[in-house]
Amino acid sequence: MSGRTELLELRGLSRRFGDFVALDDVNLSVHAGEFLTVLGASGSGKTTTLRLIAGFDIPTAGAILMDGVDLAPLPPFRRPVNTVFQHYALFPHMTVRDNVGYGLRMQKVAPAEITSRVDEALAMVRLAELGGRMPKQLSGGQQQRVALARALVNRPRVLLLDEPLGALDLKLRREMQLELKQLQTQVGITFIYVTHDQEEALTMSDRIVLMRAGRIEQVGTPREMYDCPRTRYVADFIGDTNLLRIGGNEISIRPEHIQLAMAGDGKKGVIDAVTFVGSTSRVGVRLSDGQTLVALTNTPPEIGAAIIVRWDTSRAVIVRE
Amino acid sequence: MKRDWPLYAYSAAVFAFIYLPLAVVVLYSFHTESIIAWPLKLGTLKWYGVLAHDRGMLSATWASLELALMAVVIAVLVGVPGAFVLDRVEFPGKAAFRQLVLLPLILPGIITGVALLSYFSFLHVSLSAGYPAIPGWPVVIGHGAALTSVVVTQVFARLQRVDRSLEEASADLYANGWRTFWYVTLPTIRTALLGAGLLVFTLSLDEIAVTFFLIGRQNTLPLQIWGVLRRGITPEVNAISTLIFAVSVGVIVIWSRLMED
Amino acid sequence: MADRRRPWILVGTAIPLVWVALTLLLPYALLLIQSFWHQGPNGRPTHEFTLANYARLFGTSLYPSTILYSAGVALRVTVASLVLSYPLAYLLAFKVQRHKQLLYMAVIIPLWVSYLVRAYAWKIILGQQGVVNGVLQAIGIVHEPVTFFLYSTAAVVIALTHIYTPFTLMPIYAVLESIPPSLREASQDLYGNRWRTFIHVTLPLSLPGVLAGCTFAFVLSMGDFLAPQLLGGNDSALMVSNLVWSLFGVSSDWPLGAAVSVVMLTLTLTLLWLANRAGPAARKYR
Repeated sequence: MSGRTELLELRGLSRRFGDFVALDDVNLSVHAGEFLTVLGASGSGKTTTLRLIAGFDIPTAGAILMDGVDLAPLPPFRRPVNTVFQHYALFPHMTVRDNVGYGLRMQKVAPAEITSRVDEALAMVRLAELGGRMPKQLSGGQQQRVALARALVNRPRVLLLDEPLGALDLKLRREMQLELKQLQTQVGITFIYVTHDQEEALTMSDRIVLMRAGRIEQVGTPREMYDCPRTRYVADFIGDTNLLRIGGNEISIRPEHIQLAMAGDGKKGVIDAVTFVGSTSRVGVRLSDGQTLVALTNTPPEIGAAIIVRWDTSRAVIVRE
Repeated sequence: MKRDWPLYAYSAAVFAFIYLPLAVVVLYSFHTESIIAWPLKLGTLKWYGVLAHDRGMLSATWASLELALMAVVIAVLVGVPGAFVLDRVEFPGKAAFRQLVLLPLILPGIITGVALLSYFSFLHVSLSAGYPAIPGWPVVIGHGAALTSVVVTQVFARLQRVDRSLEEASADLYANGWRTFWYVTLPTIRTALLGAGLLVFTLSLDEIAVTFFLIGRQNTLPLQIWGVLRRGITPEVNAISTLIFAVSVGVIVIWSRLMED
Repeated sequence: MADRRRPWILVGTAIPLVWVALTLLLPYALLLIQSFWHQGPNGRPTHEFTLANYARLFGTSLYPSTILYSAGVALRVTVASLVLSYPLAYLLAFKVQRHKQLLYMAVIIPLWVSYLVRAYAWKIILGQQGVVNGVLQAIGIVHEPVTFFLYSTAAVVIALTHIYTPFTLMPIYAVLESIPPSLREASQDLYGNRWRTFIHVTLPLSLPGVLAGCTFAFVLSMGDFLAPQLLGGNDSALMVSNLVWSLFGVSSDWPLGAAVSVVMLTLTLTLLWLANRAGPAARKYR
């Protein structure tokens, strides 16, 4: 797991574009060796955050501290940080080897060392035989791995990944998620991973930072974010949830924690809809007070049937707006 | 598709119209008579021989090549920064600059020619300044001024299509501004630059309007040919025209290979 | 990051700006200024402000009529080029699969051949002893050479059409190529036959290219001076540029020549501006 030493600190980080506020006073501490995911919808500020850390953009206010030094005034080529771009940004006029070795060349590393480190990086992403190919000869998945090797070969303190799996199809994406996670554990470099896919975040991360409208909504481990969402937005964004008003509070209760019964204590309701999703069925219930919720069961009742719903109150979370 | 035969026939006719005159010139370059008249009698290379000994034509060709080369150098040295400036730098008067750069391309050449003539005359610069080393500073500057626009527009169009994330990736990988330009940006625009250079070279060789007004004592090839034409057609003109045609075809083949990028 | 490079960026920006200012801005400005000067007795312009040149320009019938004549020639050339190039562009874009690139290049090649060669070729074809006359006599349609082919407006129009047809074709082809095939397929799926599909889908979408091509052809042929000189004859077919030519040459009245140039410049820029304005309207279908 990750050690708790702080590697990178974002302090009061803000970015405005004219009237538009992309980031508003973001404070975050990144631990050495962790897989941190910055999660959010479009416009949440997650990509802006990444670009500020990488150096492609300059903050309007705040600092990006690494080892006590503020990186913000430094150009990208002076930061010990490397990026895997969303559309890979492989240099089309260079071979795979030349792409991967580019950063080392720019750092004036000795040619012999470049060769061995490039070999090592290509082997790590399992592309050892494709060194002589040109990017346009590679598939999307292969290009993505070249981009990864190109960044990792420089042994950066922090690796930034900008939605790198977005262009891949579902099955390949799932495979790559696993590979990336294993790679990160193996290599031990701090990964800051940006995505809008909450399932991806839950799968891969040591910690998740959920962003909304330029601010941090909540930070926590996947388990913390899922079991104890602090606000309605977090509860709704991460995983499926039911949001109900009970006794003056808004509570979040996950579908899998709802029990359906024919009789006994609990709220009365009527089955509204049944959707078969393979591993289970999602059942929509309309309660007697008019609210609706979703539950999961392998033995769905008929539509229109009367039903009792209940849950373990320890699983229900009171959420703020 | 059978039902499209009128379209095919019409298109073939248009094609013929486009090529007929050139074919006539090429064929007549082998015409045995010294008067260019119908009927055509093929069978001699003597006009090419006459051409090879025509001092006027040869020195005019040399002058044209020299001029074209200098035009390319100027156009590239000024045009590449110009394209980058248009693509990346904001400054007051940028819109005006952009329009001004396009003017020589869209205006009739004669307007640019007389404007430059008046300019140099006003500045009391002799049209023969620099002769005999170069055909004359005014005409060199004139070609440069008129043709820089070609490089600017071509390179600018290419720059617009450059993927910015490539330059960011390069910076991310420890390359500073110059090295990013040299290793990443320049290779990406290289073919557009070469194509534009080739285009400038060709246009300069064929340039008549600006050249006529700014040339000093030396004739360029088009002016030389034109001088001959005004006195009456000699078959030699067919020979030189055929050669020009052959070279042009070669040039466009090269250019289209470059543009495949 | 930008700070280290700032001085170089300044230099890099300055070079093209200064060059354009010195070699384009000043000369064109001087031309404008010169149009308000007077041709002095010793052959050099006097630097006093006068509107006499423009008065002469608009007052003497020669100049407006030449401008109108040039516009007329340009119009005929534009229409002819359009009629020739559109079907060929259509063929290349939609009916040719295998050798498309090659054929397109074949159409473009003549553009690269010296303008002089292409204009001069028509002298051989249309002359009294030229190909056309030769063929006509051989067939027996006429018994002596026809003189009106050469040194006439028709010759100029034909030659200019020949020269500018590829210019017109290029933007039309580019636009036709960019029409998504699914649009034409959709039209046919919705019961539009070939002709209807052309009229209602292809043609409207190709208008921006047509506009661009026609603008090129018109502006370029209106400002042409070589074809009229070679093929037009000395009195009947002079165009505006020939006037400018002689005013800066044998007739030696530079200020007046400058005035005519300014008028031409204004006309050209106006035409282009109009075409630009019409552009979005033509493009509103896309």
